[in-house]
Amino acid sequence: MAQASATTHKLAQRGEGASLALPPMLVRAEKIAATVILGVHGRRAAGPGETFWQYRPYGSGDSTQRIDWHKSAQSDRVFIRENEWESANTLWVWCNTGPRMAFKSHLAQDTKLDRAQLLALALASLASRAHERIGALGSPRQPGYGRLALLRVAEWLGERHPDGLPTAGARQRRAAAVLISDFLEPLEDVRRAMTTIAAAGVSGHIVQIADPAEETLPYDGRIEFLGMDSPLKYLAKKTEVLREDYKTAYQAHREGLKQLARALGWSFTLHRTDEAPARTLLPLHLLVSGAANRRTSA
Amino acid sequence: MNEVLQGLGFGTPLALYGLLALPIIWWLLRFTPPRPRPQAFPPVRILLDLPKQDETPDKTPWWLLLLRLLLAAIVIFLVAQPFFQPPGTQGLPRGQRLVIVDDGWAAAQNWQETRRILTDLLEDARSKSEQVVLVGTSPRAQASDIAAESARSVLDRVRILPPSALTTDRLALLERLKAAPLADTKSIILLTDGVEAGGGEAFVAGLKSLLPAAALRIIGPDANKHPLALGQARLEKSDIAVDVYAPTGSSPSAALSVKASNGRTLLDVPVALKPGATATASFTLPTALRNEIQSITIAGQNHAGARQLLDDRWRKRVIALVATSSSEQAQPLLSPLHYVSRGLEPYAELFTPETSADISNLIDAGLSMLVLADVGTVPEEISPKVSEWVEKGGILLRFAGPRLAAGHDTLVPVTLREGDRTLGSSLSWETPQTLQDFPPKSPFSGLTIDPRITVSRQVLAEPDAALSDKTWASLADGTPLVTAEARGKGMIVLFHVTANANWSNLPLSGLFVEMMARVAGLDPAQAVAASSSDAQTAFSPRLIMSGEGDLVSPDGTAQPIEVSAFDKAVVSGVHPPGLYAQGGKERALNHVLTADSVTPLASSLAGVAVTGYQPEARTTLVPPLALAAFLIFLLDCLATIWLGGGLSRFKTAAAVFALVLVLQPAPDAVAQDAEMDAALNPRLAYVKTGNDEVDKVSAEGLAGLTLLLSDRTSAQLAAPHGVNAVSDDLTVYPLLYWPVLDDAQAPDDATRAKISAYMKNGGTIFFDLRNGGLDTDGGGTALRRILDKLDVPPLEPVPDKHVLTRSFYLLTEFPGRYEGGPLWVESTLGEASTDPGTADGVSAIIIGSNDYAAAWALDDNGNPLYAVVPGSDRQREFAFRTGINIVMYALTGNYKADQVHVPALLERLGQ
Repeated sequence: MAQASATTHKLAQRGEGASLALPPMLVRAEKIAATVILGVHGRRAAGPGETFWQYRPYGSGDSTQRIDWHKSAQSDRVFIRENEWESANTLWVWCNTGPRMAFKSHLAQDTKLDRAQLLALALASLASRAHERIGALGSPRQPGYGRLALLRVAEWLGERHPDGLPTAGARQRRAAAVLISDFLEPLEDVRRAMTTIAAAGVSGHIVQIADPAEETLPYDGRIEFLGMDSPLKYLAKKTEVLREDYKTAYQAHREGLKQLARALGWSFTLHRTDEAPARTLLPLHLLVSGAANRRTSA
Repeated sequence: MNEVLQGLGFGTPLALYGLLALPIIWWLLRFTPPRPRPQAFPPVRILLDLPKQDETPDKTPWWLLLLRLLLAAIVIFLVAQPFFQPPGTQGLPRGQRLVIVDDGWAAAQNWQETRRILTDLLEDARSKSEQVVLVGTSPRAQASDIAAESARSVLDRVRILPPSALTTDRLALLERLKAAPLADTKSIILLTDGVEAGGGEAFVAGLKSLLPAAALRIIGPDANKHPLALGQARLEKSDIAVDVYAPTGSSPSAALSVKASNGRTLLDVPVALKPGATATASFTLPTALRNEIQSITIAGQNHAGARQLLDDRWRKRVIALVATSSSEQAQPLLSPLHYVSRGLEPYAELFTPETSADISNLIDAGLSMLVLADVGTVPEEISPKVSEWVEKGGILLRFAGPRLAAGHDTLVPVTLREGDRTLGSSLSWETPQTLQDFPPKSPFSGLTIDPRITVSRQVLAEPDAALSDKTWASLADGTPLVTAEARGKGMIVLFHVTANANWSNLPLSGLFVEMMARVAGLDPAQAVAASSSDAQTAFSPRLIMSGEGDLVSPDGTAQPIEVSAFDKAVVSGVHPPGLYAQGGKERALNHVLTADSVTPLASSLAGVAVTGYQPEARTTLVPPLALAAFLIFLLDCLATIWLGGGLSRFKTAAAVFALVLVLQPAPDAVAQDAEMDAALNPRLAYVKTGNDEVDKVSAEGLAGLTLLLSDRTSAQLAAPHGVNAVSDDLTVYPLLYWPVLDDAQAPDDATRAKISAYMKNGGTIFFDLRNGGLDTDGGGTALRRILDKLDVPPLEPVPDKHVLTRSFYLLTEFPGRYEGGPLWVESTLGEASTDPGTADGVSAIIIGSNDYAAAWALDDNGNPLYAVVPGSDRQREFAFRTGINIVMYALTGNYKADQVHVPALLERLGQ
């Protein structure tokens, strides 16, 4: 507990700075999450858990400590009380917090970062309510339960990490991961990173956040385009001339992402910042929970 | 190269500071084309991977930058007006220079140039450390010694050296040069005024023989810059005439400007010059203005030779002549006033008042002199007034005669004996007396006495101690002939003889004329001074003419001129031209110039060519630089087009531009829309007259009529249009209401053809003169102007049973806002002969005058807007009915006319 109180303090300290915007976002994320119906999470089998599952007659080999004396006293037989096996899965969330994500065009309502954080926290909140362990991918902390873990995730997501792609460790074995970013890195780089994570046995869900302007290039005239995370520049004499070519190239990049996800057995979800977040959150939740179920049953 | 740089000059060197702006221009040009708009964009990597588009480089290439900088630099140089001029005194040998400047009045016209050349010469000499001798040719009062000086000190003098007002005397200078130590002179530069007068040729020849070893260079003004000169002003009858001498090569016209002493220009007299000859200009001015004249100058000529000063001898006075007897009127030569008036005529405005009241009025109006010829006693009623006037400065000139001799009043200078003295009569031993010389203090002094003048009869003055002071002229025996006395500010002058030839032959002589001139020039103040004993006897200079022809205060060199010598005085160094004053009297000393004064120098003098003030070499560099700038600009344009995507796009742009030029855009489309609208919905239309008031009434009237039509008839017309008869298509309107303005102009041929076609093709034009049939203000004329040359059929007032009288309502009269004006339509008499097919029997033209539109105009509530005259509801109603009938007539044609045949038709059908 000493460690927990230390982290709480730390959180409180940092909260003033980087993640000051997160608590309301958390609330908002929880609000959105509350609209999603929680899935049944019991394993339908006796096992370690907190809720009652069944009584069964004491048999040889059972520990006497497990005898439910209250039940046994009602009859001559000796019963053992079994709880339902509740095994919590771990949901790793990650979102790109790089400078690129701070982009918001005139067509969008929020920055990409806002949406990425919102989606990540909403999913984490949902998972947390379902008593899953949640953790932030890339964070040095162990995944945890409950609101504290949610706060920690929020804290991590609220910080700015310059890496554009997630890195995975061995801890994430048999876990689910939600990776939220615009994935505008070269496909090869994305593939390398995803493959590494997938190799750790993680079932992943790629969520691409896209600003409508990134899809349509709604600019005219002589414009110098500046990359936000790199010193890349592009001077367009007549932007409108480029538009069709750009759209094709952008869609090709997205297709590449989809293929990558398919090849890894991952899901791919697209979220545009001019849409409502809930519109993406619901299918995403189904995907995540469905994937979790599938993996458990497998 | 150094020589070239030395010869480079700039008209406005200050503009070269613009070159400092070049770095700024460079900085500005660097950012051309304008900086792109920055836009953060995450997927820029995808953009970068796109196939390369053909794009212009985003920075101006260095060579284009250089080109534009060069262009800017050339433009700055252009503004500075560069020129190339080889150093002016090339080729002059080293050593002492003798610089001779013509600095008389003839040089003043080009003095700036002369001084510039002189300065250049001296600058050059200074840079070469040469000694310079500078001499002027005009006979200045204080001639400085001829000595060599350093160029620097001469330069300081030259910067303020003015031209003199005198005539150059080169030969006098030559004499001085001969006496001067000029042995080491190596070069002579003669800056001439271009005028031969003053010994041009001889002077140069003398110079050559004086200093044969020295190089001689002569610089003179161009032929068209030679000065004009003004001859002496003279009187021709009452005109002032003056000669203008123009050298050959001068412009053929000039203007004299007559100026008052305060510098005001009284009159500009254009003169047609005769280059190389004498032109005469003369002008007349009213006395009041003429008395203000101080000088006559040639406009644009700023030198003393182009200015003649007029002194107070030229002032005309108002003089009243009074003689008691008028019996000699029939014989003018016997008239007592004939000779006096002839003598005074050139100098004064003469009046001969008939009555005392006239004299009184003249005195009130400002009389200078009152001449009383043989008036014994000034009439009682004006006597005090006359004495008061004399006290205030009037001059009373009296002539003796039998009446004066018989008795006189107090207005005489001396006490007179009763009666007269007869000399040389048959009962006398005395012979008629001649005159003796005028006393020096007399205004007549200096006049030559004609020995033939004799006096045979005179009135005698009582001998008196003061008599000799009062005497201006006396006979040989000493008896006074003319006496004068100052009274207050004025004076009284008495001729002791008659003004006609009765008593002496003085009035017949030329001397009398001169005496009259002197008397006319009398200034009372001067006269007072003259009568006092110790008068100044010389005219001292008051204002003298500077070389530029301005009147300035005299410097110390100008000397006074004796009174008696003034008439013979000539302009010289000690007597510069100008105004000289003695007491209140003013005399002008003028140049006496002749046509020879402006004779130009020969183009070469003693073998030395005269070069112009603008030496050969001042070549302006502006045209070649401008050409270069233009070419660079074209090059720059081409380069810009080439960089901006090739010439092919330019071709497209040019084609588009041409297309835009060819097509006439929006207004036409709008007009076509209106016509389309009009063609689809029948409606009334009125012709816009351009008068907003009338057009407004027309619009309101037709709108009201349209409303009435839809209320009362089945004609549902759309809102009326205003059309322009010149530019709009008329064919879509069945009826055109045309208010005729009084000042309406005839349409041009195209419009006329359009109107004709409209009428021929079945349209009806309803002209409204809007004057109620009272053609007082030209409406009919205006209509005739409009209809002139149109093919208008014969007209008649609407006859009984015309279709118009029953096309909808039965009408017998057609009132509008006014009543009574008839309505004219095409005459139906010849209808059979006209082709009924075209117009359907409808008159193409209806002419009314009752201002119908105003009667039809309704406001939003359907109430009439304008009162009808004389005004009754019945008239209003009939105005409406008239409108409805006219519209129905135009719309239905002769349908109603056919209705008369209905019974017959029915009868036929029944069979």
